[in-house]
Amino acid sequence: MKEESREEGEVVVRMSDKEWEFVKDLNVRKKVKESFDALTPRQQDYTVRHLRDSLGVEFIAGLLFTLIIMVWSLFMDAPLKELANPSYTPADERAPWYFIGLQELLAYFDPWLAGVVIPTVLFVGLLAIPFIDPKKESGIGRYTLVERPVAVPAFCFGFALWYGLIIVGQFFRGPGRMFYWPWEDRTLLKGLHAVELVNFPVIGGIIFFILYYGIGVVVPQFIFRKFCETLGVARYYIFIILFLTMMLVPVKIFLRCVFDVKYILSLQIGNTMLNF
Amino acid sequence: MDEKKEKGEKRGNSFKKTQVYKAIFGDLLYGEFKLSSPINSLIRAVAKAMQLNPYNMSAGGRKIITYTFCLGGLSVFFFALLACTGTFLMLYYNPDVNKAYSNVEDFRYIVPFGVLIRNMHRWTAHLMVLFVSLHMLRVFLTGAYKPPRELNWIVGVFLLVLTMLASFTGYLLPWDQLAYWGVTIGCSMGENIPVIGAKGPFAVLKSGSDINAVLVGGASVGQPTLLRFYLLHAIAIPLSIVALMGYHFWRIRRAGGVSGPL
Ligand code: HEM
Repeated sequence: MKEESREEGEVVVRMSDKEWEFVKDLNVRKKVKESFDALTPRQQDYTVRHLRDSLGVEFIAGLLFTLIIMVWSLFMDAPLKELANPSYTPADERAPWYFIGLQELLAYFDPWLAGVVIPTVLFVGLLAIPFIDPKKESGIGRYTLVERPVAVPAFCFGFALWYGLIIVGQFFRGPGRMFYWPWEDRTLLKGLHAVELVNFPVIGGIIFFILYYGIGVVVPQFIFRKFCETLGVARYYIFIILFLTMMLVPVKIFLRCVFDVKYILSLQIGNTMLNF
Repeated sequence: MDEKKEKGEKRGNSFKKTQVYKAIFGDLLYGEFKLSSPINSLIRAVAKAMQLNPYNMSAGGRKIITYTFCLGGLSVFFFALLACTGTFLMLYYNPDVNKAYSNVEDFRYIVPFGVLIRNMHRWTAHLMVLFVSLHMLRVFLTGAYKPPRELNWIVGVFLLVLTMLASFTGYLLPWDQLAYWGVTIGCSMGENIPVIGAKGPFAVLKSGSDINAVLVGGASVGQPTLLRFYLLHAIAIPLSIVALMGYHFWRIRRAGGVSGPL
């Protein structure tokens, strides 16, 4: 290992002769130099580790994982049921696990909401994240809750919701997609909900949504003044509306489970029913 | 420094200075360096072409393991494993409703190592979906989507969706009850798209000619769906993923490497 003394503006790069052989051209190449210059002096002040080193580690890690997956595959067979039969619907018809969260939503929402609107909002919301987040500088490159007290919990909540629904859909649903605790006997068929589900009256539903979004949008502006200021008006509205829409999922699940609410708002437009 | 450079130049033999050599290896590899072994340089070439590894890695490079948990890297690895096992499966599989199921049964009982490869393909696919989503969580928690990495986040979201679609289209291929009804549920979402789906609100199109019929090739899941899903699963989606991944890695390099810790 050789070390160069630091002159003005010079980068200290420690490497062996052999390593120099590998990288000497690279550091004179303009493009690379630029990207290297873009690093902070502290970042630059490290040893250049060559590809060779990292590739070796990666190769071994790859072998290890291949081995793990192979052993797993030796002992556990991928499922293969009977030949597809379009005229016989199995009792427990289920989507693949990564979509089972959405299927789980079908219990609470009409299909066009659960399968189309909610995933679309989710997708758009994910795409919008880098542009909504007002703190362009804070918390990059490390795990921190203190510097990002809103962003981190909000995202984690959504992430947990997604996987929570998957877990319920995968492990707590039995025949007919009815809810079964793990210790309940799944060969016993459960009847449909004994309780009559109720709808909010139309006007009540409209008021509910006006109040929900109204309060949800206005109140935080008074409580979290500083937060709203950093966001700015446009970002605030986009954020809060996406956030409130996300929260409608647990709200609706809560209303269904506790108050047997079928639809918060059921609107008839022409001959189409719009149920929320 | 100068002294070293000269030493290196003297060592480089003249063949390496020819245009042919440079044309072939110049851009892929590191300009001039010693070929320690053909395999080494092959790996390096692939890595370079995919922009997988940074030129400059911090001495704290090892810390990267507890920073990214290598979740993105593992996603790449799972993808590669899926491509290998998948190619093998393609040798014996026909996207034909009369053959598909028995082909898959053959993996179990006839094809040498068929069951192993099929299992690996299946379990790795699960792992990939899981790890890509965990990778997204990691990227969020470390604020790595902030400037200058916004575009990479967006590319990532598309990769996430493509990963799920790849998995979903593959789910149909064994053509068993699980596949058929799982995909039927998934595709019924298409029917419920407002206006253009037959069962959605304000539907204007009839079942069999709505958007879902365009996607699955008929009123319900059948032979056309199997063929479509096969092509998507084996060609279109993997190619898109490879393209986007290459871009993903290139953007990381453009941003000066992974966001931290340095
Ligand atoms: C097929 C799927 C994907 C693959 C193979 C992949 C691969 C990678 C790899 C290898 C890295 C380098 C750092 C690391 O290992 O964590 C990375 C970084 C990154 N990925 Fe992904 N990724 C995928 C999906 C995603 C998704 C879903 C997102 C976000 C929505 C995303 C956003 C990013 C960002 C912003 C970076 C830069 C992180 C940083 O600089 O710290 N990627 N990706």
